[in-house]
Amino acid sequence: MSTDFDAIVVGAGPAGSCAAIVLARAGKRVALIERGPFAGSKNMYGGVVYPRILDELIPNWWEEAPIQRWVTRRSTMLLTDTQALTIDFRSQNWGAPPYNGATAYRPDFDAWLADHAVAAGAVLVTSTTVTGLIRHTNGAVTGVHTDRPDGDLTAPIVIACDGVNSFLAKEAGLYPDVDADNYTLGVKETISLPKETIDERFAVTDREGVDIEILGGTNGVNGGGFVYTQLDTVAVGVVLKLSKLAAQKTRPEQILAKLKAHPAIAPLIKGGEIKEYSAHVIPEAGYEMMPKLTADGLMVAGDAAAMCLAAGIWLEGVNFAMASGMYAGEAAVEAIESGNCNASGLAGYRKRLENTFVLQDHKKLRHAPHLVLSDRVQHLYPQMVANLVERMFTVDNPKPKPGIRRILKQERKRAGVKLSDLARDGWTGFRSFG
Amino acid sequence: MLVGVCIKWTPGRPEVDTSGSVLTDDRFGGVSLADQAALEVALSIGDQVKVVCIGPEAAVAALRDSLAVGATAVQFVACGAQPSSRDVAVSLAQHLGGCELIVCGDYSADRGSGSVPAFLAAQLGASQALGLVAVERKGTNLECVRRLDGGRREVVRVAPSSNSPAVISVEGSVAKLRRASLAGTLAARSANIPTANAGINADLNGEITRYRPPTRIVAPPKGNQAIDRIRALTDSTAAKSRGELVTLSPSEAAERIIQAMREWGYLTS
Repeated sequence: MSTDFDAIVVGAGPAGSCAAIVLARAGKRVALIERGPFAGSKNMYGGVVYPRILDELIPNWWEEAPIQRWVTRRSTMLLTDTQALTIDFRSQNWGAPPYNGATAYRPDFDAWLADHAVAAGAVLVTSTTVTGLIRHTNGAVTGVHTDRPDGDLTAPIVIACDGVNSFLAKEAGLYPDVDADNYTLGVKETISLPKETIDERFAVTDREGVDIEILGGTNGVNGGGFVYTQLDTVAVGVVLKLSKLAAQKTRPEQILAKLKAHPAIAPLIKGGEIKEYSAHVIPEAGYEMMPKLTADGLMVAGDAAAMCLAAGIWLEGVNFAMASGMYAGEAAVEAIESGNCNASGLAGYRKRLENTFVLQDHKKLRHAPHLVLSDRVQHLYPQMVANLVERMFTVDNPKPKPGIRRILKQERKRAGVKLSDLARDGWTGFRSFG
Repeated sequence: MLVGVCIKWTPGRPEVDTSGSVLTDDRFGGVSLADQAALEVALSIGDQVKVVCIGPEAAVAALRDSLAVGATAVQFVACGAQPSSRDVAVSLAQHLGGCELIVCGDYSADRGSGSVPAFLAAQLGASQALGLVAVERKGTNLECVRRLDGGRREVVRVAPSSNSPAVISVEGSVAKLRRASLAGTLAARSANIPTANAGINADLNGEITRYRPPTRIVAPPKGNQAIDRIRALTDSTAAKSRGELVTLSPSEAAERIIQAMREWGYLTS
């Protein structure tokens, strides 16, 4: 049967563009459909991109990628209302090729990736929203409807990279029941400051950047915060568990305003001008909420497949999106060439994900998101640790210094932390991160 | 009927940085709602529609969008300078030969002077009806409604022909541009866009200054009470002046308008 394209990729984010690059380079006719006026125009994320997966697709990508700063300082901050404990790590090795993490504006980064897809031969169609799937009488997906007049497009394979809460995956019946506890809401302000000021406040130079991940500071709503640097802007944001946010009936921007006013954060952004406020839902639960990844004629990748890894010390998403898109593209090429675009012909997609970091990391860390967002990790432990450290470093002579073990015992009791819970959470954490 | 459309593409999201420079982002660029309405009017009236755009390279995107919605021909006129309205009109006129009707937007997205349509009509020797809020085709003629001061309207009949072309400009509310079909969008991506050079190197002549109402000398108000002085200043109790109705020839009317503007302080010479 004649079709308009060999494959249709829905969504020109990192997953979609990588899928389109692979397909187009294999000589396949591929349409990359984006609802925004350009790739990346609708996209938002909470921090840092780890682009090493691009080594396979775009050699020496760092020479051309629109990177703002290379992250050379990584801090984890624990906040209570009046206290802040920071573990700070710096490596100059991360400031040289092949680099590690980087900050980038998504409208620049995503557009750059989409440009590679177009250069490879993909047809990028912008300002066009895919409204549904075209299906054969046997149920196989054979194309998409769009919101344009005469807007149907046909292809034997559709790759849904349409972001979190994917309507296409839902329509195909691939999503499990939606549980609000699996989602968080990320809100972010991008604040303008002179580069020199940012360099001075964050103790970096040239293109070096800082990524601060925060536990606490979210007004009692389970979640976390972040601060990271671009060349002449600083991004400050919070990630909030949806069910807890709804229960507290607080506006996310109020929580963000409170974080910005915290004594540990306010000096970093003092005098800055807000350039942008943005918000996005995050598929926080990762492996536990992943949809079925394939159906006849359909694959799901990126945030649409809940590929975001929110595991406390590891907060990644764009790299998983790019990898899943790339592997979906490879599986699509394989299926097209074999003439079998049914779920069985697309099985190579899941195999590739399972054989690589994508599903291996997600599977290993599958318990981490719920542990990190649990009430004890969110509220009891940070207060206990902060109090412990405060008492350790408080010199209240003429009293002699108390033993650390005794302080720990007292603070554990004061925080209401049971030893059995501590042991259970410790074991879960060890199994996940160990 | 061959209808010409003139559109102006402008970059989007202008921001002033800390040094005072204006930063823009081409990716958010586009044409005004008035220009979009002009294109829709042309598509609904004309048998053939030719869209002409003068501007930077990024403006080609607007012409591709025009092709996608149904324009039969486009012409890009490259111009890196910021030309005067008159220079723009001269350049546009060179590519609108054969058009019986030329439709322009009443304003551009960057809120320019809106004077190009008038200059264009002068350049083409065409009749003009500008600032229209409604356009309806009646046979070979157009029945247009023009906005006047004080909420009033006038109905203008335009009879364009190949011997006697007309230029009209429309407000954004006149029509909503149709959505391009998917096939049209795909075809427009790779369509050839004819390009000419405007041959304009000089930027807008004269100094660009911030718009500011002219200063007027106001005599101290009379009255013993504050309320009287306020009334005197605001003329709130004075009889309302409805203006002056004069019947003059066009050249005399133009002289009278200039005289009035001098009296009101809008012209100093």
